[in-house]
Amino acid sequence: MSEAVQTNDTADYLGKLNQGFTNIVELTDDDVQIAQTPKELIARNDKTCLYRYKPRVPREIETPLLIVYSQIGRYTMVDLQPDRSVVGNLLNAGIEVYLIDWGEPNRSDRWLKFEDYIYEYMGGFVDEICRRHRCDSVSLLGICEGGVFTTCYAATTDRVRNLALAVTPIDFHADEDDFVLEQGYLNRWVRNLSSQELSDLIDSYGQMPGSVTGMLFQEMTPVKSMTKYNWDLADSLSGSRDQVVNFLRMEKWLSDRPNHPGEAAKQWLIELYKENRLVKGEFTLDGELVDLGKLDMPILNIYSSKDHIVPPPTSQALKSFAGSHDYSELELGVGHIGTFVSRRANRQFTDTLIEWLATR
Amino acid sequence: MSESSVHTMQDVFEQNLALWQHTQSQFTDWMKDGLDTATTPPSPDPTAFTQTPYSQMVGTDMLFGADRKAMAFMDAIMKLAGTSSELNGVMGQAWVEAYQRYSTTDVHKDELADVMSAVNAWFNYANDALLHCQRTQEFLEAQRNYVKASTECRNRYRELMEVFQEQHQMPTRSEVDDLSQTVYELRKEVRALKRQLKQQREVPAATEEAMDTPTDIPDDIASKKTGRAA
Repeated sequence: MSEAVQTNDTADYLGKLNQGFTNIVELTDDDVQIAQTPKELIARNDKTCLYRYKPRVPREIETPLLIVYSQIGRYTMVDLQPDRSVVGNLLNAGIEVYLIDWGEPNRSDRWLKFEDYIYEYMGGFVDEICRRHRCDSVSLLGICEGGVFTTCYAATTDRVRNLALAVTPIDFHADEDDFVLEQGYLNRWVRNLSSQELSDLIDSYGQMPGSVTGMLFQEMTPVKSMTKYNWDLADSLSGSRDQVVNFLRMEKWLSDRPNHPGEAAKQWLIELYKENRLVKGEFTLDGELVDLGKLDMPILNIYSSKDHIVPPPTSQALKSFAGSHDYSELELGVGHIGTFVSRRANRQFTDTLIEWLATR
Repeated sequence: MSESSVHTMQDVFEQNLALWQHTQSQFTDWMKDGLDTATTPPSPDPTAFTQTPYSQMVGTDMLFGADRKAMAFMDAIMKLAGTSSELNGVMGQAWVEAYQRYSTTDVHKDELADVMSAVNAWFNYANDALLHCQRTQEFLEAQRNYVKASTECRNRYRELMEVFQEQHQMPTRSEVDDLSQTVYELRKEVRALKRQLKQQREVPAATEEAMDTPTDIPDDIASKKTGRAA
């Protein structure tokens, strides 16, 4: 490499850094807003809230849709930026959209279990939606852990007309037969610890702190995590204003990682990730078995081929276990979060979901 | 960079790593030995029994137990430092392997055409090596030890803090956890009772309504596959 090339490259890099600093000082916190689609609070139960998004067009699809996000991240991902908002796209198609916000659990919530989240909170909100719309069932869109919540609810009640899932793990060991270097870190991390060690870990915090899950996610992309705020920053901040704001929106979302209540975290990590009880037919809620064979409603299962958090085979496995005769899949060529915010995937995701809902 | 200098670098790195791990281990032993072998003050009576190590003394609850809990916490910190060093050592080896690959045979010329490409290529090699490392038994063992030691450390620290909290009439974490569990269970009972009462009120009303309009089904009563109470 010649000295001239090195000089030019260095000058380019410093130029980008300079542009990045210029961009960042021109922005204020008000410029980096997320989840701005107007919504109203419909119901509250402890820390969880049910929101209804304000319709933009006359209703085209009769059955209301409830979006159930995971407790690992915040629901704001489905409405991160106005031009790539899952919620916005659904509203534009005339769908009545509701969403659950799990709030900000802390150690005082450590005893809450899946049963509480699925039947007490989500089930209670489904009842409320049915009461408001004078209907006896809703469509559910479950995302990641929220997908497991909705799956369990759909398998044990008659309240679900359509079940859509996005990046949802069902067979938590399905990554073992499918070697992809970047995938399955979390699955291996859990399997490497005994059930007792996982339980002790969660008990020592009284919960699964958001900072710990955030650190685990960073370890999945080790070098990217190391270079994000130094070497890569020049590229991240030197683009157009929109690009920089979108980068900062994502950072805002990433830094807002909620704690996971302790007992529910044990069910998630030990009973599901470690012991894989859901597909073994051994997962119980309030002593009742969750039988995936009872999923007899239409199912749309969306997963992403480059998802390093939920390896695709762990989602695809649902096909083998669900009892539904109306099962369809959509594979997106992006990562876990790209499913919702990548320009192309976001459109493909919502277009498919809208069409699927419209015909059922 | 020549192959021999890479080997030399690697040798030096490995020697330093081994030295660091040895130091950590020795420090841990030294701390532990220091506490374990510390003895009671010499007795003026020459016929008295030999001095007793503190660690073997009958628990006299000196300082309300804080001394023993401080010792246990210190021991846990040492273990955590040791396991952290072990984990860093395994990861360090992956960095060395990445550098070896990057600086010798595997690098393509186009990856070194300019500074940006060269740096990005280095990051790709490092990332690849680290991801492979994460799948090794050596890494998994070190990671597991580290997680266990960090759990132990938090628990010992909580126990130590609770001595202080108890002595200052402050609620301990264990007490708050007990309290939140009681509240949680009470709330569940209250909800279950509320549902029972609601059902009892609704059944006569639904029966009367059914006599007038047999096809009407109250829309707020869920039809459950499992018969779960609404």
